[in-house]
Amino acid sequence: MPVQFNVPPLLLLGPLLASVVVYLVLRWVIWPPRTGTTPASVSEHALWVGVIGWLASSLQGAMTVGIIPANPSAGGALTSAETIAPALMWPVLGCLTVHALGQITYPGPRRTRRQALLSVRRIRDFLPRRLALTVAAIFLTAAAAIARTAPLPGFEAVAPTTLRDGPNSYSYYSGGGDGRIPGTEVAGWLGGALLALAGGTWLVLWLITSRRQLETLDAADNAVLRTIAMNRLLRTVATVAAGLGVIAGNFAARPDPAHGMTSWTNPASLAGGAVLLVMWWWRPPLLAAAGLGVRNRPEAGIASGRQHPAARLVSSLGALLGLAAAVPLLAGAFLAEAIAVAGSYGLAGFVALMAAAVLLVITAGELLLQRNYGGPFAPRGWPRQPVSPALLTTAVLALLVFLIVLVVTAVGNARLAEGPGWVPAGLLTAGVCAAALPAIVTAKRRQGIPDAPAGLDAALRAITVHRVVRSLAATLTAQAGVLLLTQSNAWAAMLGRAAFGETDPAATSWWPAVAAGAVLGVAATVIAVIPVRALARPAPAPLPRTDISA
Amino acid sequence: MSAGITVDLGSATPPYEQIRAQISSLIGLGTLAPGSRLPTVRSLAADLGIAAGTVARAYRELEQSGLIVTRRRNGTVVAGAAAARPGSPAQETLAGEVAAAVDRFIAEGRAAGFDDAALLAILRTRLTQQDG
Repeated sequence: MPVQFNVPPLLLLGPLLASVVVYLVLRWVIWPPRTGTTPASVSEHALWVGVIGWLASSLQGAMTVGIIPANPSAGGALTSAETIAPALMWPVLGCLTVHALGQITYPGPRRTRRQALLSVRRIRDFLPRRLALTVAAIFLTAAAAIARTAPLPGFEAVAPTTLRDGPNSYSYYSGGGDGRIPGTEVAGWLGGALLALAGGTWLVLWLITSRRQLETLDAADNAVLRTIAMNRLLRTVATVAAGLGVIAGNFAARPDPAHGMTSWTNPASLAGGAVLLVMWWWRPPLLAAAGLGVRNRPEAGIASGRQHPAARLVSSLGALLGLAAAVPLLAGAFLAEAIAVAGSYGLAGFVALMAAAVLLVITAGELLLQRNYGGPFAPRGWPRQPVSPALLTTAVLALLVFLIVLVVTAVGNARLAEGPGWVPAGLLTAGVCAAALPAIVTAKRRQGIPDAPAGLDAALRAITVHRVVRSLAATLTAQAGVLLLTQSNAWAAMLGRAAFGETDPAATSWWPAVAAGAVLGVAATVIAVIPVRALARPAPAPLPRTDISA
Repeated sequence: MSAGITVDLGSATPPYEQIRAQISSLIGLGTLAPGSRLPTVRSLAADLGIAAGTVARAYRELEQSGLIVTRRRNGTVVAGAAAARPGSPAQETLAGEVAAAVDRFIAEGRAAGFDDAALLAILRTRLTQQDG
């Protein structure tokens, strides 16, 4: 009897569109207009591949694979092939695809004279051995954890109940308990995902080894770049493998509610956290490139021992900006209930408050700079390129994403005939954009610094513009995430609740939109901490060969 | 040691011939020892940014002249027989002397202000005169 699969159209279209967007972004980073491919853009590209790959690897949406929720109306149960497959497929294939796209986006040679080495490249020539052995151990441990779930029996969920002891007496509430499907099914899914991850990792390692040489780097740097790519790939897949082990542990730890036990702990989650920390700190090797506009290099005159006091002020503002964002964040942790009660305005207002605080500090910093060091007759320098192409691209993409999310949410709200849940995020984001104007205008119009070294005044303005654009990009991304998190039903109304395999009509939220919102939230956090680049370069004297992290 | 080759797309010499000539001379000088594995056609073509057919043609001609062999398991390797001639100690010394003489020719030519094209033209002319 033939087996029929009902594949929702968006299940394939979504990943395809995401791949195209990632390809275009990476291509833009490695090959920016005007400058073309440079060692600096190669370095940025390697970093972005790692960051996007890591973002795509989140298993957060698959943590309850095989668990039957006690409350059937809660929705989001991952107990059937239609729901488990996409929840596991996205992070596993997503992170591998991003790393593969990273290799494919490297441009071919452009020069008339082209060089090649007559040697055969093998994976082991570039593989970071200690990391590879560690990752192999993590894979084996995850496989053991998954194998442990295979013999575990399934059990039914116990629904929550309210018992009344007579019409006028006390009532007792029982929260029930989650059930689970048979362990063989979960082991099959998780084992398949782990195998796919291992096989895909090997394929991407082969792709990294066999990709073409970059003519902007010498042979040694080309080899180091391959090791850097392998490092980032292995660290990411290690966290995914550990995540699969945590899911298996999560499944195994659930007690049968019929036996009266409801509390449980998952020790595998501690191991998963440890793997995450170790991989986070396992730095890639260093890419050496002569005369490079080094990422994260402190600005000229800012980090040197004899820095200008104006530069010192701007430098110290970086820490203050972090504080300005952290104070509302800490306050939000204590006011979580109030934020939840405030409905649509809660989270959006919280994000807007953080952004406004940061923008206020930036504006105040420029005013302080003028008051302390400005001179009415000093020339005003304006940077040739105040915002790096990568950040500008990020900001434009963030704006596009926000507008698309806003429009789709508005139409979805209208289709559901419910209140305009999109309005708070729209209004508050517009407010943040308006709050950015004083910062930009102040940076543009403040007085010059009379005794500053050449180029420092323009560099300080560029740093301010960079910080403003970075804050706006992060805010737009975060607000798009908030809309997806809080208005997921509007998206379900637009795309169809069953588009990604959701089958529960009583679900109060739509998990694909919630997952996308969570990813955007993480992306916003990453954008918010993009470091200020080397904006103020010294005179173009030849720089010593410098080691940098890609 | 990894030997390298250069392909000049602006040259009048076809790219496949440039590849063939350079690999041939590297084998002749002993830089590529017998049994050395060469990159695959696709890999070399990707690194040079040229069509795979161009590299395949160069490899085919090298194979026909007995300098390289293609084996299913080991890929394309420098032929043992062809390299046996420069493999002997006397031949290795001779290859080293030839390489040193070529290096001197290049160094003195550049010191005299000749570019690569002029140096190649001089060499070609001298070879033609000696053959004639």
